[in-house]
Amino acid sequence: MADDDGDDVKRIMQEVLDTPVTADWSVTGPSIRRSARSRWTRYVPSSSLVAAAAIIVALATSLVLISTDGGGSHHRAALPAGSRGAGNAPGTTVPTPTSAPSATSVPSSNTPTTVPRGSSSTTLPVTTTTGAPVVGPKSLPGSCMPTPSPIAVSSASATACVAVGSVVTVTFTQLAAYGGPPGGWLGGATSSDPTIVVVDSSTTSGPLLTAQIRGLSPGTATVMVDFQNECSAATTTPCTIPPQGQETLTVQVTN
Amino acid sequence: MDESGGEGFDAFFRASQRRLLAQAFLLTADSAKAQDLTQEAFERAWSRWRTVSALEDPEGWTRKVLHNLCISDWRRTTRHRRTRLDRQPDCFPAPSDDHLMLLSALRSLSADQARAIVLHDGLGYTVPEIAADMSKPEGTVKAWISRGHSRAAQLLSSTQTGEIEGANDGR
Repeated sequence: MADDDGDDVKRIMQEVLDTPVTADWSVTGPSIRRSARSRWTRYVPSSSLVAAAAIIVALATSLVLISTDGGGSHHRAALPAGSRGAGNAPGTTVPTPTSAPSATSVPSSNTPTTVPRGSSSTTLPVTTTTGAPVVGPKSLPGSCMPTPSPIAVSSASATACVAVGSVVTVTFTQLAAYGGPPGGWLGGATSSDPTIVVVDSSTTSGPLLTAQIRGLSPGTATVMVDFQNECSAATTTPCTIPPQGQETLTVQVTN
Repeated sequence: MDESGGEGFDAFFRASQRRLLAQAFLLTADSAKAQDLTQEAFERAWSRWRTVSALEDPEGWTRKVLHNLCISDWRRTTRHRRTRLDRQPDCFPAPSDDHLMLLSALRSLSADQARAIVLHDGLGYTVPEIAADMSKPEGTVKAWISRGHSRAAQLLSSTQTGEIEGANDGR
């Protein structure tokens, strides 16, 4: 343990934490409760809504799988959750919907990966590519075959290709990533680099978030959405996961 | 959300808000952002207060959410800022150079390493306590802290050297 190295860290941290506030924070418990109520209307899935969502997801996924690269599309293994900017095989399709199992039953063959923006105490199983590399349609380096709109995303991460100037609809479907039902959306879709991909609009409806994105310049950016997530009622260990899930769409913008 | 438990939440908020706000400032060096994220963490605590209030350490739960929000904020180049009508821009003084350098060092670490360092050096947790809090082996936590200290020391010393060189250049 580098105790000497830690002295400065400890000193600076203590100085900051002991810094007296120069003005009182006017937020109060009641104001927190009011703002939480007004902003974060909880989504309680009814059986009919869940069924409708499942149908929409199935239809959207079918569209993507049928229409991409002339029927020669390939399923791409889900990227490790949170691994934004991981290499994208040009022209690969968006991963098919997956139902993430409870964190308490991680298959041994899977690589545990920290849930995006979640606690270190919980892992999601992520399928890794162990066989032959996924081969997308032939394209020049830095270019890709545009993914047809709409793009359906219902896994922790997905990839897509968008041409410069084109507007694409992306539908994110919440994951039940922790074994329990997902909750409300936290804000709208955001782009990691608005100079490459801009989010023109973002609307939510139950478990679906629909965003219009536009490719501005060649490059790669990530479109992210966040949502609350419940722990499973069946979880026997204390569920300490910060209640947030995230889905990301890595977008390669090509000329 | 029904209002049951409102008084308990308000008491919890009063008791813990200063500590958590300071931690958010430590992890952001930005007074406004610290207020935003702290408010967000408390809102999440309230949105599931029935569960959180039954925990042995509701502040620990909220702190974990807050730290993750702050660390997630590092990873983003943009963020949809919600309108905070009650933000006090000058809640904290401007961050010191040391603070900014420390934050830079923390940002160069993994999220787990950064959390471990904050818990250990900022909040005085012991290694076994951190290991329990993060559900990791003690050896892993020790390694995180050690590496984090080394990284921070590197950055801090390079800055101090740079300042001396800069001062000499100015003469």
